[in-house]
Amino acid sequence: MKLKTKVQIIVAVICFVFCFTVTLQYKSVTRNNTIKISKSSSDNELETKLLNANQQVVDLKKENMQLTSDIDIYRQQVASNDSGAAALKEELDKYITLSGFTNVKGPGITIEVTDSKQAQADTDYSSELIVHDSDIRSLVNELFGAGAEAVSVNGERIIVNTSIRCVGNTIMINNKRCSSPYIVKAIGDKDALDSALNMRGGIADELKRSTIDVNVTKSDKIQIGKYTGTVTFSYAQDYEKQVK
Amino acid sequence: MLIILLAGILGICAAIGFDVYVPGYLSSYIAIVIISAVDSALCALKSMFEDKINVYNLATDFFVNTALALIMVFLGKKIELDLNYAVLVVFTLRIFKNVSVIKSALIKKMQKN
Repeated sequence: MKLKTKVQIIVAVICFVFCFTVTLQYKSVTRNNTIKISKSSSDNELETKLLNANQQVVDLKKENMQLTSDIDIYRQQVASNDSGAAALKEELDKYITLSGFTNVKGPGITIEVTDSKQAQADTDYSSELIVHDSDIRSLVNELFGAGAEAVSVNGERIIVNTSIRCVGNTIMINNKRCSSPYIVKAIGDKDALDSALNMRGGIADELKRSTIDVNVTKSDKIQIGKYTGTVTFSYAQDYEKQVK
Repeated sequence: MLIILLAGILGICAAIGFDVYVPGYLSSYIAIVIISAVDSALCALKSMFEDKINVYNLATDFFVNTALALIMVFLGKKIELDLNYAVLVVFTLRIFKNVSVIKSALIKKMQKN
């Protein structure tokens, strides 16, 4: 085979690879077009989307407050018109209070839990020294166990299906992010609550051992806000019969 | 020359026929392969107008250059240094040089006739 022909064959092979790859790349790029937006425009898009979403949240919260107050007004009206309804309303109010949907006040304790100061000194967050979601859960558990009637963490009321979960180095309670310092309030018998926490080997001891700051103060005027989210049951239905 | 054209058309048809797409994270590698292919094709074309032709050099030129370019892009991604632009510059320089050599050789041929 002539030398020139050999070179031509080589060029042909390379040309084949080239055309194949170019067409492949072109197909893929036009397909992934939505991902390949220039950086500046995608930043702007995300920014406007975020602002819109935040505005929506604010508007919906306002609407929620308006609707809740409307419902209260209607309940008052119904109760004042009918004595049978008044008894029902009383029972309804009682359950609303018990389930955490009203602001409450009373005697109790405030606990302030902060991440250890040593953790702030280290540049890498040593996991021993920060407050974990499990610590908050144990604290809340102890409080309820000692007879607390209402508990809130950083303003988030703890109700029946409140979740306390770990997200990075912050904690998500009621699907809202909370971070150190954590202010836990509990209404109940303040002496019982205080001794349940401070007993030897109890939760306060354990936390202090990891140099986490724990400050317990008793008070006669604790105010705990209501649960500010919504609860809807889409799976559980009322069941009249006895459950074993 | 005909075989080159044929191979090119075959390549385009093969890519259209194949229902394969390049995922996003591989697209920069495929792009470098494209540029490397252009560079080695032009190098081989340039060699046709020269006296000393080493076929083995040309044949392995493409694979070695592409492999090296891919390695550099990969390393660049690892050390957060955009080495793919550097590789691109080198290949483009060679493309321009080869094209000008081919052009002057063609002009010399035309002047001879």
